[in-house]
Amino acid sequence: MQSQAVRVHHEDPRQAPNSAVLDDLKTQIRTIERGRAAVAAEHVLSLGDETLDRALPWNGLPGHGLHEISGDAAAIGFAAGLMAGFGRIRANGAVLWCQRERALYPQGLAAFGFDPDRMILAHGANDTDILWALEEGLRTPGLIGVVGRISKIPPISARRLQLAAEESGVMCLLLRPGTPHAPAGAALTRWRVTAMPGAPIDGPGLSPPSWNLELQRCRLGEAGNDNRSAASPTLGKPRAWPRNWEVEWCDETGGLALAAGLRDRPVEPRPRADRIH
Amino acid sequence: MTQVHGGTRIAAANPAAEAAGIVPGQPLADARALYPGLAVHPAAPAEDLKALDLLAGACTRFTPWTAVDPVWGGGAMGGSLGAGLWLDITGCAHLFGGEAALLERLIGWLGRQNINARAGLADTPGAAWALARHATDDSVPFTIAEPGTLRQHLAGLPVASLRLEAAVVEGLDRLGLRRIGDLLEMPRGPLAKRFGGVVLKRLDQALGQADEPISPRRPPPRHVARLAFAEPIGRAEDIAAGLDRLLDRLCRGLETAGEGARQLDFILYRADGTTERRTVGTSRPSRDPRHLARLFRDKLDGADPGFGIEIMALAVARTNNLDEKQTGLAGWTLEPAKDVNQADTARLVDRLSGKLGARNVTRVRPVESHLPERAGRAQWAISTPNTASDWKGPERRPPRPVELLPQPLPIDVMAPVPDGLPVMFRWRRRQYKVARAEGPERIAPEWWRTEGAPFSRHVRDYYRLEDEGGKRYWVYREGLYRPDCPPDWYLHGFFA
Repeated sequence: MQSQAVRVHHEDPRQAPNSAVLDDLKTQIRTIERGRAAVAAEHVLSLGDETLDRALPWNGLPGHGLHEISGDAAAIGFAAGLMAGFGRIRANGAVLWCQRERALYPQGLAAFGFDPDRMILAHGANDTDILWALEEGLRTPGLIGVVGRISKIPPISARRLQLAAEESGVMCLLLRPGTPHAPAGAALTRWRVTAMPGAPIDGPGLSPPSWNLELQRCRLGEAGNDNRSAASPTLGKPRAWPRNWEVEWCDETGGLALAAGLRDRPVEPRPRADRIH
Repeated sequence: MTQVHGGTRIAAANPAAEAAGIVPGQPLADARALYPGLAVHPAAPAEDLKALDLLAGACTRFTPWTAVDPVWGGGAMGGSLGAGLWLDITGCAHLFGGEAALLERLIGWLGRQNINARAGLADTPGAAWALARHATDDSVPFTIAEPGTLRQHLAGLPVASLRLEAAVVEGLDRLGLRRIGDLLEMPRGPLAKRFGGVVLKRLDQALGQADEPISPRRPPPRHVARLAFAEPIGRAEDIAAGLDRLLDRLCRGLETAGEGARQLDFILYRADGTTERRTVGTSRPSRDPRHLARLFRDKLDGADPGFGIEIMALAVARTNNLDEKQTGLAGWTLEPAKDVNQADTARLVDRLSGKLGARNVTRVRPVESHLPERAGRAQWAISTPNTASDWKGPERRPPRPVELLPQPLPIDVMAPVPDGLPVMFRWRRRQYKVARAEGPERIAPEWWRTEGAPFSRHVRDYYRLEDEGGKRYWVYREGLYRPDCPPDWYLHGFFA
């Protein structure tokens, strides 16, 4: 996993390690992990809202890893939006989208800022083919990212994908239809996106897509720079997951905007979220 | 046996039958009289040709240029001349240690497959034909006419060796012209007058004074590399190593020619005479041995070496120009990053197409159509260049779903007013209460297109529906509203 080894010297293995050693180790681990997070800082995508970004230890979603998104059509929209965001950061390159179904509709993806011209669509006959194609994509440094829709994934395959993504800096999104049976443990973050009734709008029609965004797991989660957690007494322990946000897709910023405060208020111009690139 | 001139005649005979005095061209009744127990089978020229074609394919182990002799030696040629293959061994003989050695191996290889073959080698196809059929026998299976000795070799052969019809041969015989040498001494005028141009034409073709074009079975590839093994090999690693060596050689040739491969054939010649062919394609011309090797590696998984592989050959079937690219100097990349990216992506497309099948790796292109299912077209990524196109659609067009069902699913919809907004729908035995709805968006059929799915014949009114949970669906009502019959509703897609 990590090339740097953390060495512990025990004179007597039966003797319980004292807290000073433990603290030292924790600091070492944090430095290593911080280092990794810092290297990727230029490839971090803002989700469009500061609250969301701050909840992640990278101040946004890092492009160098595996992210798992479960859900139905909403998850596809979320993935398309993320890929579009990375497409803006990396001026050229393609997105490899692998799945078995032939139902993906490019015009619909374009609504999330995604450029279908950049998409290479690979249809695999089974999960093995899809995993193979994903890994091939992750070993191609010119890509923006790969998206794979797959129902079952063995832990070792997830690990391989994560390592390949880390090495090449190509983002990997795993779409899990429905509720995944066994989540991919190696993923940096795990999300669940479900549709949510949209905010009321004046007149007929539907509001922009509204989702309930659930961050189910996040590696290095406790290292996040969220002030609330720093002040809380549970310092050092993993923050309790999941975390929930109600968000809306925002066409102007091409990102997400928190919808919670807007729910019961009359329609008014929404404050634009600051984007960090 | 074959039906000729209203009678059943012998078309071909095996050595045992020939020993009993049975010759091709003989009426079946005569043959039966000679040997009552004769086993006969109807002639099948079409099958014979097919077998010859396979044999011509297998003979590409000696030269890439092979062809089936279209002159079928059965009835018209008057006898046991047999079927033939053309092999143009120009530039190939040295690989086998000379012309004689090549022919020896050819005959020996065919003999091991129970094919009794004779060969002639000469400067012209006509002379080679004559030598193979009339200057060989069981003890001398092949004859070679060294350059410049054509006339001497041909002079002693019978006129039938000029590929003339039986009637012409008979006519010449009546004049006492039995050898080609006799013809060579004759003045050309009277010969032409008496027998038409055919005799002189064949004579000139045999002597190389007239051109005789023959089309090869497959156009010979311009770039080809081959590797022969002293002992047949069978291990996958050996095959891969051989492939690497071939690719290195081939790519050097491509570089000299300023070309890149678009399609490559890798042919394995097994010891038992069968061949195995693997083809890979690339989306951009390439002469990078490492990339091409990776493409083949995916394909070679199922390759069965059988009793071992004697020869492997690699040929470039299609090329495109590929100019020299200065890739960099001391770490400086001269190519723009975009080009590097595109080359990487093209390689990825090649690999994916090779493994998953070209039709499963696609790029989508917009099509100017209002019908949702026609508005995008999947094209093979391997043959589609990356171009920018317009995906925005018309101004103020209602949103499109992220997933579109390939086949719309019938649903039951309840609407308070017959052509009003739906309030409830039932799909897969579940009720969905519509919390919000938007529509309709009317999409008319494309009347100028006659083909297409039956569901595209009617006007459709599309609605975006949101159920109580917030999930959004794209449904449509087919046909215009008519009071007398209930409308059909379909579910066509899902919004994010």
